[in-house]
Amino acid sequence: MAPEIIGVIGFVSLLLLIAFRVPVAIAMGIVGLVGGYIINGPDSIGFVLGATPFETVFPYGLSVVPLFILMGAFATHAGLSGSLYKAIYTWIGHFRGGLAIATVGACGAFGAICGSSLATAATMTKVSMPEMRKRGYDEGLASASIAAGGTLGVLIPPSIIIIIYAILTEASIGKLFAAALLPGCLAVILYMLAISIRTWLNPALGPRGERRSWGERIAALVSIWHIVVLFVLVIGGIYVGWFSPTEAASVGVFGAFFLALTVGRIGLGTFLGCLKETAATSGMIFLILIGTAVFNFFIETTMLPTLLADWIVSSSLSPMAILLCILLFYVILGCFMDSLSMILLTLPVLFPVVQALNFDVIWFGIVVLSVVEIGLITPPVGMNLFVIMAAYPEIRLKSLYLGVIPFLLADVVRVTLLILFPALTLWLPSLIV
Amino acid sequence: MLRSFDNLLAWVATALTLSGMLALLGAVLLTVTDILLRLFAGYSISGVVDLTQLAVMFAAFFSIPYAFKQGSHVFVSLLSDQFGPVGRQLIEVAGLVLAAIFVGLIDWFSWQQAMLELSYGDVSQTLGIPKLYYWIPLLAGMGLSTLLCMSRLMVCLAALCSSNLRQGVEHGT
Amino acid sequence: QTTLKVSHFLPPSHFIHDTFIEPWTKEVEECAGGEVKFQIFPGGSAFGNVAKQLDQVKAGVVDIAHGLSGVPRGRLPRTNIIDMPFLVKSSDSATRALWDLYQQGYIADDFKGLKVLALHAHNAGLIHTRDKRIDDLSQLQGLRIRFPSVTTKSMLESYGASAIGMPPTQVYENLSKGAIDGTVFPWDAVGAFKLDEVLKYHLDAKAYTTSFFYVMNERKYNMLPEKVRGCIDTYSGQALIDQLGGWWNDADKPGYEAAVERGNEIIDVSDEQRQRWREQLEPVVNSTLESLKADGVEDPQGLYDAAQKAVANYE
Ligand code: NA
Ligand code: NA
Repeated sequence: MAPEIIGVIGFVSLLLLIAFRVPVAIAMGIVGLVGGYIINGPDSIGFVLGATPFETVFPYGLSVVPLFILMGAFATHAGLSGSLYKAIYTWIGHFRGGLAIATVGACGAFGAICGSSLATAATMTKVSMPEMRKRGYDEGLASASIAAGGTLGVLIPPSIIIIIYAILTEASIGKLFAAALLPGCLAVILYMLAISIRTWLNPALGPRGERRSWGERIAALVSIWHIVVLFVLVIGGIYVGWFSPTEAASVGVFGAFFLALTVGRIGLGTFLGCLKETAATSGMIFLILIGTAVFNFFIETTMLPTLLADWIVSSSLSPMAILLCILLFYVILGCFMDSLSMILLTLPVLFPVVQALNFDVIWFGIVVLSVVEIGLITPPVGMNLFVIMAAYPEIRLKSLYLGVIPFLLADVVRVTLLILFPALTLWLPSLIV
Repeated sequence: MLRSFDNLLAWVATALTLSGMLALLGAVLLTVTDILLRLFAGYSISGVVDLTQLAVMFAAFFSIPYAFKQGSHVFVSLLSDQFGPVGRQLIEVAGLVLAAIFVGLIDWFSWQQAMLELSYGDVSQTLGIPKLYYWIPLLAGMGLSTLLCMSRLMVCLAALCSSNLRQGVEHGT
Repeated sequence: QTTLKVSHFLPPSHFIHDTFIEPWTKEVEECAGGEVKFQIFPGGSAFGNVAKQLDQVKAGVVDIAHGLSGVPRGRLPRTNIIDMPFLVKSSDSATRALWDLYQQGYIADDFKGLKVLALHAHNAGLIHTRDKRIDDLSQLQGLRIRFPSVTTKSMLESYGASAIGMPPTQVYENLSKGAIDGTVFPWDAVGAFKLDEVLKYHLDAKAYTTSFFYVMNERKYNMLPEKVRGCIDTYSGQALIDQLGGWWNDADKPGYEAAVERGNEIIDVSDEQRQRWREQLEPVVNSTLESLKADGVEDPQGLYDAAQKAVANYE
């Protein structure tokens, strides 16, 4: 049997196993294992199983995942996120869906620091899910806001994947960073709009709070000054170069722990609880990453992605149709594959076409990277969705899956706007010499 | 007997995961000290990255069995809700079998890879810490995960048998 | 028809992929008249991990691999002799010297079970800084500099710099924020990572090089039909060695030209100055040589002397 066909069977089996309640990580791992065995033989799969788990966890950049989750746990259990959300609530609680809107904004800001969609989604789930639920927000709306907000990090520098794209296409990193800025803001605005429309249609999803006086608002803001200081320290520290984005995770944990001890007065029991909770969440995320890596190994050796890319290239479609095919291809692949390896594998095949069609390199990059991240939140397989389930096990699957639909629509609108109005992407970089 | 073995494993998983998390906190302290030293004393600790990576290996691989112990690995049930209690238990058994196979094979092949690196005398990039130390949490964590899956499987099978018996009695067969 | 898996750790836009390995596979395919096909796994793919290249080709998981001889550290201790500070200036001389050492048997013990297709090294690297112009290595005191290899780390530290380890993809970000003051790199990396955008000074110290291997699993090679083996032999070894220096020169051009165009200052270094630094670094060299004994090299000093002699033939 041709490897490509085995690849297709692999995708189908994966969906079946997942539908039958096999843990996602195990389903990906087992399909990758069996498929890899059929295509590459026993030596190869032995090597992959021996090397992949180690190499998946080992990279220094990945240390942000458990660290930021730990920071979120400290912040939550010491009541820091409680007082933060209380303060936000006094300011915008009287708007429908105000807290969900604020959460999207916070996800964007957090993603700007940490650069990992998974860490953003996990941390923000810990911090904001309980707070929104407490105030009567619908679990679908609340969790989907976090899932969608978690994808913002890739467009807001620092972003490793933008750097990789720049290396592959020999485009300027500085210009790409500038180009990503407006589309990033557009994404934030559209997500907020999606929340407003949903809560306007059904106010029960994100009920209005009482309007507070300015005195109360100022007082609430003053009461969380220490959290503001921590936030400014972490973000500012990166921007003035005191520490690298990866080190910022450690600063964040240290700061949250310090505040938890002094302001929150956490005891030994709460402290151990934070550690256990962090362990349970990061254990799940790491196992999913390992399963994905084994599955990716199988899919790559089937040559299926390259074959599909080749097919798009050799089809005699119009430029716009080719672009849409490429975008659709990335959305589907994004459901199953890690965005970085996806870009690295397929861009070398697709990029010559992009050049032949005279698409702007920077514009194409921003459009594609926007699309790649959509796969993180499309049901049934979406990494951000899984991470939220890991960090908030009480969630009902159906409400999460239905909840992301408005955000997916917002993504479609955003990508359409980016395609129709290239100036959204290209205006800022044109100011850079 | 089965239950108490399961409880013992659960206790070990909790103890390991807490030690892994403490290692992570150690890395946090080290990183923050390094940042402060280089900001205020113009001096930098060598090999913070190597040590952080080591701590993350412990934190990550010791937390995987804990997640198994909590039974909290992410799953999605789209079709399985259609089945009755016995069907669902069978599905759970199948999931545990697959899980045991996956983590068990990882442990087995990782052992071989670790021994290979040991024979080469591989060390970490900056400090030259023997790579074996980085493998220990992986081998221990995946080994414990395998045991946990198997003991859960036994518990589950035992429950399945007894519930089948009970149902058989109720239906008069 | 046999399909051979080739792996390396670099992005497909790197010359190692599109000028060296991919055309090489095409040449061999054509020569063998369809008896062999190649499948390339670049960086980022399933077999693209930099630390795994040597293991996977030895295990036969891939058939041919291209990797860094210093990663994992200490695995190819003899080959790494060429990485010593201030030993070579150009990629061409380093590559030819390395090949001579291999053929004379000085470093052959590193490659048991492997068929060596080529060994090479990049043009000697520079020290690039962001804000502080340096024309002597003593001015490195107190600066935070990203290092690419263990030897350069010892070199930087012996001059009082903090040597920072980080993946090359993070260098741009950290330089632009000032989290590091500079980096040690050849020109080719300046071009690839657009570092000219965030750097101002380039001290052309010709301080070090990094070596690479391109090897095939020996068992697999011996199992191939004679015709295919002949084709591989024709296009490897000396045939590659003769071209690699030129390829590296071409690869360095974009980075160099971007820096010139941007008006960055490139500080040249005289041979006398280089000789002085080399003498200052003798303790570093000696302790590195001493440490090679632990990696199983019997006569490190003899190896170093041979390397110096081999380089002198070409410089
Ligand atoms: Na980011
Ligand atoms: Na998806």
